Amino acid sequence: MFSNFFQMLSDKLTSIFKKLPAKPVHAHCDGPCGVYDPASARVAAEAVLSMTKKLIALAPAGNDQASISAYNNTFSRFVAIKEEESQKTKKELLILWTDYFKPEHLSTYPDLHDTFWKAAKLCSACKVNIDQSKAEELLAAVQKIHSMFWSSKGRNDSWVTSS
Amino acid sequence: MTAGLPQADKSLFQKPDLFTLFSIMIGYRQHLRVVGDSMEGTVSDGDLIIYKKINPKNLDLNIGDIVVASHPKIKSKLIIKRIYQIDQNKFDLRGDNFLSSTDSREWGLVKLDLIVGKVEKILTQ
Repeated sequence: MFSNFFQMLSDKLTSIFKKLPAKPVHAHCDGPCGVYDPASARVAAEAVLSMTKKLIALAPAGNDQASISAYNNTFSRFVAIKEEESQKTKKELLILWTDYFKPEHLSTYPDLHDTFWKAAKLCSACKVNIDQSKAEELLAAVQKIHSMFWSSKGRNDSWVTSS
Repeated sequence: MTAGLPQADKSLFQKPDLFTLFSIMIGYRQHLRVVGDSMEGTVSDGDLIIYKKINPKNLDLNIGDIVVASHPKIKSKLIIKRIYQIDQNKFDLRGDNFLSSTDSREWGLVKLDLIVGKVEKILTQ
């Protein structure tokens, strides 16, 4: 009888105790948020491809000074955006490569390092050139990383682009 | 020898007895709320853990034990990990959810003076 009483008392106290506030002990990564998502790299890579296409299609409206000035201005802005978005893509990929992926992932994805290294190189190539095929290759590399990332989390999130 | 992860000790999940609850009230044991999923498989986000501070004169830390430690880079932050290996009073601490854990694989071995306590009970949500 007494043992039942103590058991009930213990159960009751435990349920109350579980609801009490407590200081945190952390079981997460240094992120510090621990939130990783290849979506940010995908958006930037899409912007690179978009700006590359716009640059290829861009032509002066005429031969007069005003048209040439407008062309130069737009061309410069498009190049600046392409440069910025390429760098952003590289940064987002490097965060995934160095912070999210662990040595253990290599057994599942033996080409992980090669994939990231080539993708980072493509970011540089997209800065140096106005080359649609390089920008498309970059987006394809980001898609491959997207698949690796979500499968490493046991998920199969579909690849959806904005453009 | 290395710990097989995850390998939860079932006794950790037994309900605390009155003595344990009393020992928390008088400060002999401490309790903390887990934040994050690096120990998923054993300890989940939101679980409550009860730990006892270690006694440096009478160390009772073994491979496989779950410990509370100060973060090697941010001393004010407490972390929860499992002892994976011990090498001359330096500890290889790992998360059971090793694919999403930042641990000794990045920090290196953790010195004894950063180990705060050993987890004795896990109260799941």
